[in-house]
Amino acid sequence: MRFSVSKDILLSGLQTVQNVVSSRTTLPILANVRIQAEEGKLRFTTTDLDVGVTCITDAVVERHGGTTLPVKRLAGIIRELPQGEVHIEVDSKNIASLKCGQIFFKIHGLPADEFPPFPEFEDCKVFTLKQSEVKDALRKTSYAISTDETRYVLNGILFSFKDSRLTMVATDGRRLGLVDLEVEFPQSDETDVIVPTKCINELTRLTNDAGEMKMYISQNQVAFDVGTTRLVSKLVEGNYPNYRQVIPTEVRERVTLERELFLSAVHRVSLLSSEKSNSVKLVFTKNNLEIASNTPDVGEAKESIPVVYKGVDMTIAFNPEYLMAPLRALPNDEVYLDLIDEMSPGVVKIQSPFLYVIMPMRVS
Amino acid sequence: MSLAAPAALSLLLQAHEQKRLAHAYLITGAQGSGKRMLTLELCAKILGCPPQAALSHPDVHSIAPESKSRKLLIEQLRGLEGELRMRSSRGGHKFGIIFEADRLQPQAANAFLKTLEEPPPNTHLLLLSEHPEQLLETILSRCVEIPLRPPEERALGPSEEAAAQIITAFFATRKPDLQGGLWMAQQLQALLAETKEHIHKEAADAFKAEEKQYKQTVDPKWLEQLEETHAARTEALYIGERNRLLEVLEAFWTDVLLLQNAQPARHLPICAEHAAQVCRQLTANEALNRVQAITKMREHLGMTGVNEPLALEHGILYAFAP
Repeated sequence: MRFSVSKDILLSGLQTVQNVVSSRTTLPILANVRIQAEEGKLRFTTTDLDVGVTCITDAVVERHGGTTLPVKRLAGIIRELPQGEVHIEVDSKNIASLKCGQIFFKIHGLPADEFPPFPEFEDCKVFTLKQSEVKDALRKTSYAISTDETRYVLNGILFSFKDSRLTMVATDGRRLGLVDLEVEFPQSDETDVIVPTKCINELTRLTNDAGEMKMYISQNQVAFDVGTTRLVSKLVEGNYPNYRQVIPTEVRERVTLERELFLSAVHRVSLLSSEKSNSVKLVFTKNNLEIASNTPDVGEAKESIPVVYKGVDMTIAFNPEYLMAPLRALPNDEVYLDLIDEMSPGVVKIQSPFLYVIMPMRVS
Repeated sequence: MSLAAPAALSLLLQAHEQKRLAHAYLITGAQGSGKRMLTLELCAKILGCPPQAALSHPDVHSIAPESKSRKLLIEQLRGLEGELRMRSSRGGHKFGIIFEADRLQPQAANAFLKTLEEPPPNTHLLLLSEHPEQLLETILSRCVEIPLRPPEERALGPSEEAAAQIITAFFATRKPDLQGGLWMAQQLQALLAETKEHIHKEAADAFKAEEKQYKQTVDPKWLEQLEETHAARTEALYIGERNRLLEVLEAFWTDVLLLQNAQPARHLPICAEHAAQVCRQLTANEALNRVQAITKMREHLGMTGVNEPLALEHGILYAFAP
């Protein structure tokens, strides 16, 4: 195998795929990237057997072939090279000779045929999505993914295709983020899948602010085509809990809040929320919201912000982290906080189809 | 009622055909009763691959004791659980196998209970154990036990035979006094040292071969991990082998007890003659004390931070020359 390619293209190819390799693995070849040289193209592939990425870049290929090389080491070398063309030649013993001007490297690799095969997607459901929408939806939901491994069905985002809509949901049982997207697909393609967290993180990295992407769903796996990059992942086993039943259907009070003002106020006040209770109180009185917290024997914090509020006086407490997370992720200037009473979940909403349910904490 | 391995396999396959395969099985039986074979054949038949390739099938996930103290650690279980939580790569059943499940640490076992009780859909857990009595009640109650019948007569391994020879030599040439006891302890220690050296050498060869193959091709971090894993695995192997030697001693005294109760000696036939001789010299109570001395010694050796030669000497003196 012999090819030459510019340093930047090679590096960006390697950076696209190198995140997937896991450091702890029983199969050493999984720490390598498979490089295949075809007609005018290079294909890079990595996998940890759960999630895999493959991408294609243009290159001047002089001799076809394939090999695998340690990806972290290779990327480390390429990063340090000066701008210019990189020539790589791999012999039959999988030893790669790398030349760039007066610089010369030799790296030992492993045979490409030992690399696990990349799954094929035939006979599957295909959906066309807008990258910007998906990226935005991931940002608005992924912080709510559960990290509790005993509730493994929550260790990912639910992609629910139903009624010409894609609903993406993440929850950890205490808060829930949800985004609805308009997508066109035949009714026969309605399906629910749970995409695991690692794949979500990669997808967030891969998606851009423009262009379309494809999502393929087979019985056990999911694939995303973003540009010339394909991300493949196993799906999480099991059924997602019925999230609809935790979304309150009535609204008694709607408060409009300036997002940044509210966020910084909650952040300031949370500095004195005690580790034990870890809550901030929102005290609503006529046209005023007071945010308060206290830690016994340490001190207390209070901050008032003017709001339009005409309902009954109400005190409701939330975990400040859970309250701040959506405020950080949303781009809007104004957010709505929908409340029922002290003991019912609050809902953060914006103008577009998004909602965030947050369970209140008991006020003593 | 215990089953022969092939009978157990056909029963399990029948259950699979009727879609009644349980989510967790505990396969028990003495060494050599075919637990491993049964497990591999079951996975192979259901997944459709040759038994020797079963462990490398993408839908078969297995763990075995590998820490220095030959324990199954909580991290290993977490890894296994993580793999089982994903849908199978071939779309069918998937298996989680735990070899030597009695080495589960209580902490790890407790963390595993939830998965064991209700594994993800299409997932079957197979726990293998020679000593199910050492498992937590909570584990036992969550599994369907498949007791396998031990093979009619199992040939002793080379080091086990050496241990039996030490017993024979002791009764033939030594007196059951302090000197005799110390002599025996020394012999056993020499045997253990030899076994250890043998295991280390084999493991070192295996490590070198693997290291050579991957030396220049992978991240150095991985190589370090490989070395650690190898060291731990070697230690685990040694402790397993040591247990087997101690079992030979235990078998001898069990035979003595059997003879006292007018049962034929059946655990260690090559020492039966001496067992009969010892039996005539001891009362039932004394014989029981000897067995207990061995049990106690095994307990001591199982603890961490115990000086091995000291524990061995102490145990042997109590069992053979009190």
